[in-house]
Amino acid sequence: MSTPALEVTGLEFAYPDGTQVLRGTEFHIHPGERVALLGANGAGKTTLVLHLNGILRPQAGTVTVAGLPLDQHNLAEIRRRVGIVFQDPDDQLFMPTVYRDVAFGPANFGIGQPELDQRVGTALAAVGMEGVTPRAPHHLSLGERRRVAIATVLACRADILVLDEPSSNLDPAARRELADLLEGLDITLLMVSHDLPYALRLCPRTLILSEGRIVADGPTEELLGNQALLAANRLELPYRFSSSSIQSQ
Amino acid sequence: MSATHTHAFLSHQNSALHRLAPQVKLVACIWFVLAVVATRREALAFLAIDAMLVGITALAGGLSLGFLARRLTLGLPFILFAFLLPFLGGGPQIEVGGMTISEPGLWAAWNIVAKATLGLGVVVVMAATTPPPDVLAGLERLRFPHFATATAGFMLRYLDLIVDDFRRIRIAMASRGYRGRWFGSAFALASSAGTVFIRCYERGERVHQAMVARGYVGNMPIPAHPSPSRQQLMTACGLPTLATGLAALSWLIK
Amino acid sequence: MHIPDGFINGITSLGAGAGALGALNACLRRLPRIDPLVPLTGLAGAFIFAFQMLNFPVAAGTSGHLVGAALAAILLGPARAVVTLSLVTLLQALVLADGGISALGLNVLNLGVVAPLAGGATYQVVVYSFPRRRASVASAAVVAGLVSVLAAAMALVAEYALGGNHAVPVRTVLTAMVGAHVVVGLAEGLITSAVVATVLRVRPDLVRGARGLAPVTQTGGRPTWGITVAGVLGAAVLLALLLPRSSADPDAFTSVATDQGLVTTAPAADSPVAERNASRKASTSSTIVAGVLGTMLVFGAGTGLFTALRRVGNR
Repeated sequence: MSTPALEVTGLEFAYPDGTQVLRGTEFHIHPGERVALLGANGAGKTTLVLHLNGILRPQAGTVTVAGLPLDQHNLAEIRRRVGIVFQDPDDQLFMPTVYRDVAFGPANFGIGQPELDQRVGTALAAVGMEGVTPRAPHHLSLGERRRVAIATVLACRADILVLDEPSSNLDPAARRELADLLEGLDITLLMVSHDLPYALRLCPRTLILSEGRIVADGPTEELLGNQALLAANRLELPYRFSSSSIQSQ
Repeated sequence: MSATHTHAFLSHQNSALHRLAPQVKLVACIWFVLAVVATRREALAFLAIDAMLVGITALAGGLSLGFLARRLTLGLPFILFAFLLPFLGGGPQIEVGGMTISEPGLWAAWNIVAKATLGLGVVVVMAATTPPPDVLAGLERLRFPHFATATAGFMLRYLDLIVDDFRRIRIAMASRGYRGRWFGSAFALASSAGTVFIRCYERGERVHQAMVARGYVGNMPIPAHPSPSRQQLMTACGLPTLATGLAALSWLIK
Repeated sequence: MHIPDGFINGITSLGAGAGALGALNACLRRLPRIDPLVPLTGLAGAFIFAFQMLNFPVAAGTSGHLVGAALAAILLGPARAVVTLSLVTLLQALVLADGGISALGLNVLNLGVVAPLAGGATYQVVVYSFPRRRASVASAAVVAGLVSVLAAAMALVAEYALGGNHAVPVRTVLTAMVGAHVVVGLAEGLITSAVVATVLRVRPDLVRGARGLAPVTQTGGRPTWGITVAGVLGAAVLLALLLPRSSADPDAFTSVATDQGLVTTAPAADSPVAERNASRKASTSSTIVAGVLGTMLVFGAGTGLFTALRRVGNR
């Protein structure tokens, strides 16, 4: 068994005001896997994501990235390896130009010129956004900003891409373009989403988080075909999709 | 809602002026303004030449004189004040067009009108040919404190978003009958400003999380800027040098 | 209030710039070297920048802009407010062509240093002079807003006195500036108070100026009445001290007009000149009295406003 790309054991976390969010979350992901993380609002998905690169620290439990335990000493390296793309690209793109946003990560991790230019170029090309380097982020459409946001972590040569609701608010064409892009990336993927068809398309494996615990872990088709499981976790397939039609595919 | 925007002036072209390195433009602009301000106000001919120089620079930047003239209306409030000066001023009085006005007041008014307009003109030309992020890059290159340029970078980046936030709240308010006619209705706007402030702060926290996620440990990376060529430097320094010469001459030739 | 080129001479501008830089440096040193400083200050700065662009309705469809210096001082603390307002003023000059380049030192000093520090200091004095509750915040904010605007106006007058060309006498400029800005300052104070009250209701931890103050008690009215009474008494005392000066005097314009010879009354010997001087002094002190009365009104308005807002909030 190879070393898991990401291993989370017994994570417990409560916010300073006392709200207990994570109650012993546990799962692992192997290199190259594409996993969807589903759950209702308030289940703790975003809180869990913030634990994966040490922005939040658990009261109990561990996070290990490719064998490297998450602690003060390994923080920088872990942040390089785990590329988190937050839900609002405007939070992610905070520099005056696209170039500086994509260069921000690698520059922090010690990459200098001329490699920095190369990384920026490669990352933007990987998301189909070549040529926008001098533009200001607010001149781009939402779909374009989402893609540039992904480029900002690709430029760091991240091993795992963690996406928080990547398809939300995108129009159908942009949604499909993003899915095409993600399919083409050769990277380990953890995708937090409400968008069940998106999860079905992109991720063969699915985890369901409920009240701070992983309550289901299995093939996406199987989980989405389980009507009772979905209902118990406030998840629903879109109109005219049915569990039986997913099962039969 | 005010129409002022960070890129209200920016004219999206690719003239020689647009391509000029921002730190060079900044220095040239500031130098030119200082030269104009130093010019003796009574030297009308020299100030006229300065105005022509600004006009030529505007044309070099691909800007029409009409564009320049429209942007110059910004200076109106103080110009109006300047027009009052001949009537409020003391000292020797002179006859102009049937009115008796103060002579020092008239010259003071001219000083403001001429120099403010010229100063405004050259800054407009610079703003029209330099995207705001480049202005900051220019400041960085000029060894401006890094904390200041980094913070200013965030200010420029998020200004449009926040202005947009206000705009959307205003639309929502108008949809519920808000008129905005008298001072009392300003309080609704003030409340919305409080909400926007909270959102700004929370966004600041999320931005910080995103920065930390990409390895930020307290130091913003300083990008490398290309140095301007000799030719660029010579071109840029041409105008302010001329203006300085004119300023000096204006005091020598009385 | 952004000064253009050609209004104040270069030396004054340089001096102002040096002063501004010194103050900025001092404020930067006071800021904690914490990680989130740059993005949080940047976003706060963007907010103030946007706030200055807002059109606040004044009357009959006209609108005006506010400075937000007192607001920044109360929400962010004086040091951050100085850094923020100074950067906003700088960006306005370079990117929006608002304010002359040669007057940058003056504008940064007036709007970026004097206004927030005056507003912040006033706020601290008022809020700590009265019961340490959040109810004091609203009244303090109103006064802070008024003082911040007046202080910036006074700074401009001082700069004019030092480096303007004095075609118009300093006294006239002083009277005009103070007179005009009392009204503007009142508006700024009231709006500032409303914004702070909103933030205080939802995220009191974000109002730096309210740290260490007890939350509003359920027995609402009494603390605020205490403040109003004290404020009125204090202003009345000030009034009593200043009143003996004024008399049946000509107003500011008439005295200026006579002085400038626009009204053909021959300048007379000592006593009328002395009387004119005295009346000019009185007209300046009348302005001060107007300011004090305004402050009193504002105090009462502020506490009344806070009480009203609280009642609305409790529904």
